[in-house]
Amino acid sequence: MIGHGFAKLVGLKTVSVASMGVSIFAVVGVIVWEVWKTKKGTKELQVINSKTSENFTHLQTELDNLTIEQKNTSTQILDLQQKLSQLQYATATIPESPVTTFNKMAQPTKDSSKLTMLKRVIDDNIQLRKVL
Amino acid sequence: MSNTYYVGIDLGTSRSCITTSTGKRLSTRTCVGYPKDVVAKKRFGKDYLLGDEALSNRLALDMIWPLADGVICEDERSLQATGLILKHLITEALPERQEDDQLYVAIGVPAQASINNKKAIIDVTKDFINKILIVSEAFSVSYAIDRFDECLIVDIGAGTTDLCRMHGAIPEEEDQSTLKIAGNFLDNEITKTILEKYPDVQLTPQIIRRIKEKYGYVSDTSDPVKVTLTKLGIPAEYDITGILKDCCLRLTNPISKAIQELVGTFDPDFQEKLRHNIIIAGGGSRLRGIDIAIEKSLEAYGGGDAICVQDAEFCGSMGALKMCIEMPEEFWEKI
Repeated sequence: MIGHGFAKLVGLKTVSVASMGVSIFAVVGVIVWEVWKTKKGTKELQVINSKTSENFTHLQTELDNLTIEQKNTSTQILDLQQKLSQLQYATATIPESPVTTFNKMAQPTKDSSKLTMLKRVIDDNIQLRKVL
Repeated sequence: MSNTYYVGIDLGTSRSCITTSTGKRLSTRTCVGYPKDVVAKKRFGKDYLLGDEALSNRLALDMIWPLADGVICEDERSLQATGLILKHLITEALPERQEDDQLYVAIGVPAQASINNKKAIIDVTKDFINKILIVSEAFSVSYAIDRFDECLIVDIGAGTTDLCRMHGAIPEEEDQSTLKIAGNFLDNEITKTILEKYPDVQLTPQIIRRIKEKYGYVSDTSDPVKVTLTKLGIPAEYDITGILKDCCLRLTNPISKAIQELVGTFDPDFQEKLRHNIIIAGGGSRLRGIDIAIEKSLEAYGGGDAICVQDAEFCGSMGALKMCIEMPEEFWEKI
């Protein structure tokens, strides 16, 4: 009876030691796996980070180029605006516009609506002279 | 054999332009300068100087701007000056003209010029023009661009802004209105506002005109406008970006109101069409962004679309010339 109880106790202890061992092994496994995963993640992040840095440097260069280009364009626009205003306003008496020796002949309109309007212009001018 | 020359003239407050059937185009300031004293007379060797030449020598001259208020001032000197300017323009533009050549001219005048004013022009030109037509400036613009359908011409000059609604026929009196708010008003506003901000700077009408013509704008975005002005003879740079924009808006707001008044009294079926066909001409149309500013002001009245004519300076004189060329000879014979 005592022998049977002792065997049961030994058996139970053996089982509990074995299950503790398995648990410890499993916990260690999980920790190792987590560490490995974190390391892998860090490596991936480092790769992404370096790619982002590259992209950023590239964008920075492009932005610098665009800024230079914008400055050049602004200067050109200002230059063109000045030239335009010189053309439009600096004219004292507009010098020699292209002269043709050709004197355009009368081209009486045949458009009836225009004729009506022109007739009215003439009538108004006749009226004006009558008041003179 | 004698030739017939056709000429279109836009007689403006500040500048007058001529376009001829020979293809020549000229413009000059509408001013005459008479020597102040014998010293000046001896220096110039002439009784008077015209246009830009007079303006450049104005310190030694008594300047006459015969159309100072948009219409011919009715004093003797102004009438004489108007005649001199018109004769000068024609002589310069048609040097090949012989004595027996015929000259048919159409002159654009402000929409609401008085009968006395129109008579005065006929009077001062009778010695050197064979046939003369007096036409409304705004109508000349619409003739130049062939727009006789429902549209509204806004001719922003120096002395007046002429508005004229077109509806396929010669505009009647009620189709036209004239505002005294135009380029000269803008000049005064700019001067007043600059002096409020920078009280001691030295300004002349010429300086203001140069600033306006070079930088004038009414848009929301623009490069900073910095001009060199003098203070007791010492030049310095002044920022007038905000001043220019505010003053330009003081010009466009009353114009938009006048546009709305003409739209509001038009046939309701065509009001929408009129509001969306606004054509801006005259020197004022060269203010950058004026079309957009007018559209913006019109938002309060239901919106609108405005465009500027391409050749603001010569559009009126080109329309007047076109009228001359297309006028049948039997019509000319009536006057």
